[in-house]
Amino acid sequence: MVKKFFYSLLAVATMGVTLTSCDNKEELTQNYKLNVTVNLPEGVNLDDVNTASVKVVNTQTGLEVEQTEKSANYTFSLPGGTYTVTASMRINNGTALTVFSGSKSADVYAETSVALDLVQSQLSGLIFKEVYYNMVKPNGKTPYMRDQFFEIYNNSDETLYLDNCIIGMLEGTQGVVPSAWMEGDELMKEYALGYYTVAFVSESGKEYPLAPGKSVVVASQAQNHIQLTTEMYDGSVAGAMVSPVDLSKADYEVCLSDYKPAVAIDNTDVPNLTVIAAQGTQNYFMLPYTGNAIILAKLPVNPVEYGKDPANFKQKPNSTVTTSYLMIPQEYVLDGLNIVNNEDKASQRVIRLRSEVDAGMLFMNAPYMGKSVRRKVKEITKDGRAIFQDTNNSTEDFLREQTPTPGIIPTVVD
Amino acid sequence: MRKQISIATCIALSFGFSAFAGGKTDSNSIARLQYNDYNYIHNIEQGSLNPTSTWQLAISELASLNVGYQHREGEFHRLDRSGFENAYGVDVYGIKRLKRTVFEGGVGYYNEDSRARCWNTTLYQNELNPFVLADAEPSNYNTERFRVVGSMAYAISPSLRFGVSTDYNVGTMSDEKDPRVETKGMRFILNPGVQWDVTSRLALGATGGVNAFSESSRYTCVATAVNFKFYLMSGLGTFFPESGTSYQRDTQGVSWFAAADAKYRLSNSAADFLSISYAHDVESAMDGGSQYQFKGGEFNDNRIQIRNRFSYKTSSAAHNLELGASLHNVSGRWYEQKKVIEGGTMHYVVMASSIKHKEARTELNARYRYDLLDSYGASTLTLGLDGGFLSSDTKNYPEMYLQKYSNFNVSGNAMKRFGVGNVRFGVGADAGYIGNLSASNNFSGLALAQQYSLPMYAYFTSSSVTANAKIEVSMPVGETAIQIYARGGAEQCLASKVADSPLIGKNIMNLQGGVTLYF
Repeated sequence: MVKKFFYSLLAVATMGVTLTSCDNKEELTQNYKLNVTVNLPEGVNLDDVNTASVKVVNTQTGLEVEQTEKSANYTFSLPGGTYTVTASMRINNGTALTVFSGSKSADVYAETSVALDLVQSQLSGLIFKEVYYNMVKPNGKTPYMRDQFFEIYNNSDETLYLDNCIIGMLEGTQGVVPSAWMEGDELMKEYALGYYTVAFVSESGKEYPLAPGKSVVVASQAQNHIQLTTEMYDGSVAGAMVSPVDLSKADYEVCLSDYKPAVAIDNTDVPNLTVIAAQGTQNYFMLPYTGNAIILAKLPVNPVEYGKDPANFKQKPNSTVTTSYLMIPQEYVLDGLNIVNNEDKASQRVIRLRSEVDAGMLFMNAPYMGKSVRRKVKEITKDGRAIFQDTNNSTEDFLREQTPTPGIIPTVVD
Repeated sequence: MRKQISIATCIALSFGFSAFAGGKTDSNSIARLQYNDYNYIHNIEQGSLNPTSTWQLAISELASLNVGYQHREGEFHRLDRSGFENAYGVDVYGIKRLKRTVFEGGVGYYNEDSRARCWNTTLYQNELNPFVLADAEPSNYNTERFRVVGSMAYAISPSLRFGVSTDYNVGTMSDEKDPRVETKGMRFILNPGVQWDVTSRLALGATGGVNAFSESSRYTCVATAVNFKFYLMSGLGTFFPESGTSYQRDTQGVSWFAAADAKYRLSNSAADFLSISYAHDVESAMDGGSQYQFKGGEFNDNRIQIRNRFSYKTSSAAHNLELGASLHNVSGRWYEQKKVIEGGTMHYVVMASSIKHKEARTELNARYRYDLLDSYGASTLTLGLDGGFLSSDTKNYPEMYLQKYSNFNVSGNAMKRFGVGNVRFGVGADAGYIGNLSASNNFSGLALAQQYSLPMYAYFTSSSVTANAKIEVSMPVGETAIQIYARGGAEQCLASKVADSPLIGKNIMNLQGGVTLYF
């Protein structure tokens, strides 16, 4: 009997080995090669580059791989997937920083090659210093959506003018679909604006000067939101929170009395920006708590006229929706931030700005926590002027989860 | 091995509270009270996949109703299982032998509350399937299972028998803390079989069947402003990340199996039963529900099992020696899928597929059991020795993550049964040891190495001791009989291959109790 069992076991083992052998012929999951060639603009030598970064990010899993050695060719070994490939090279000659960047989408399901033609990024003096869109729930239940602000700072050493500048929020909703505004595997070099677009409308071009080291706060509603939310506050409910900002002395506000008269409140002590386009239906000039990309752009013409010209509008590509969106060419953009919902889910970290504008992204850890994103201070000059970090990469340039400080310029380096 | 023990425990609770149930035997009432042991001693085919084994049942008529309770609590448990479980079960079970037909079957209901469970939302999915939808938020779960089993054997002629058995399981599991999951599952097994007495000494049998499996898990959230992480696990702690406030997975499987068996009677006292089976299990996950379709992985398990039981029985004693082996060849196929937006709607396109997860698993076990029999053939003393070996070698590609270990286990058990007047007592105990023979891993670079992979590895490679005691009291009540039983014990972790594992020194205790009425 023991012999019979032994023979049976032998037979089973043989069959098992046979099965294993069969499986060994199956294709095992492997990584694929992604070859990235970086082309600098004509006249720019790789030898002049001080720092380099080529980063690939899997759009579905968030897997991020970065190489930082200076080279014209990079090779990555990656799991199969669709990747955003972003290259950034910087030249610092001691007096000025020049950034070249480029970005493309690449399907990596076999050995793949991508060529990136880098272009010089726009580093303007006018930048977003701080954005507060996180909001609060004073009673723990209902979001308080009126206390957002956008602070613009003059990061240069000379007076700049906000005349004909606009603040716009890009079309799209985080968590729904990736950007539809693509040309091939790249984001378009012009940006479609949704929601409300507001402008510093000027006839002379010199009506809104901003001195070096100074900022202006654009409030969604210029009210004392601390006071207003204190009246609504219900501390017995978990998550209830008072707004962290008093915007009653903001420099500008957006009054939507022409669009949302029922909820619009005009603080007559604070000048209003002009709404030049309204593709949204929101009650306030605001970002959703899920975030979205925003831009600061300077138009070459009167913004009101620009917003009336049908030639400046386009319909969403590959869509049956007939809504037309105001388009802003990238060359008009002074600063922009890819604000996304979170870093976890592919459809919720959709970037809408090209890497020349923002090669990074920002997000909050949780909504309704009363926190903001603020740019890092790189340097304080001898005369006390703060110089904020501006490399067109919001991931690196900004601090997240900050206590909002509208109108307050930091005095120490971050 | 440890997993087998827990499965056995679950099955016992979900349907097997009648473990000591008795019935009207052909010979005496004591055999009724020890039905399960009585059938084991006198039916060498017990446990066979072939439903014709029902023909060999040692009891001709039986009906039992059982109500049982189980409590399990402690910190020594798998990461993806709760350390606090309360459960009760109710089942009815019966046997009826007619002239040429024997029926066996029952219905069972099981309800379990478990606390702080996470990392696993499956109900009936194969435990070796690496494609598990999970979250990392510990939650309190409620699980309900309903089971109907039935088996029939029919004697076509004195030397030829036909049988068929079915096993239908349906259940639901849910928790009420974000992200809250509701899992509904079903497993249905159908297998006919035949057995032919080739000679007066030799009988050959064959069976084959299908195993249909379906399970759906749906995550929802009450707090929709919070993004929760969902892990589409793909083996050894690798995962495809998802997040949000809802997620849905549907897993389907149709598997088949076949077995051949031979029973040889060497003498009036000695017999041998050999069974060899092969099973091919396939389970495929599809995510997204009606919104989109994303393949969550395909699991394959090719399994060969062999089991041999040698029985030597005299009028006063029975000796049984069982040897078994099973080989699993597990593979998990992952699909690389590209998200495509067309006309504002999203769908996925499969770009490639390949084997991401592989496990070679070998289990060997040996068991010797001695029963001292009374004049009616019922056991008055049972002594048993068990030994086993488990080897698992798992690889995950392309990073070549690795988990490899081998364990052995030894245990002994004793059960003494005696009568005092009309009351019959049973007192027993068992003790065992599980030891690790070898272990190695490579989780380097795994995002969930500390959170998932190492704690699981620590459990699989731990050494532990177990000790249990049980008591049963049976007595006639009019035309029926009642049995009250209780069982309790604990398992203590002595060591682990993860040196600083929090499992070391921890234990888990279990208590079972119940009442069986049989008619």
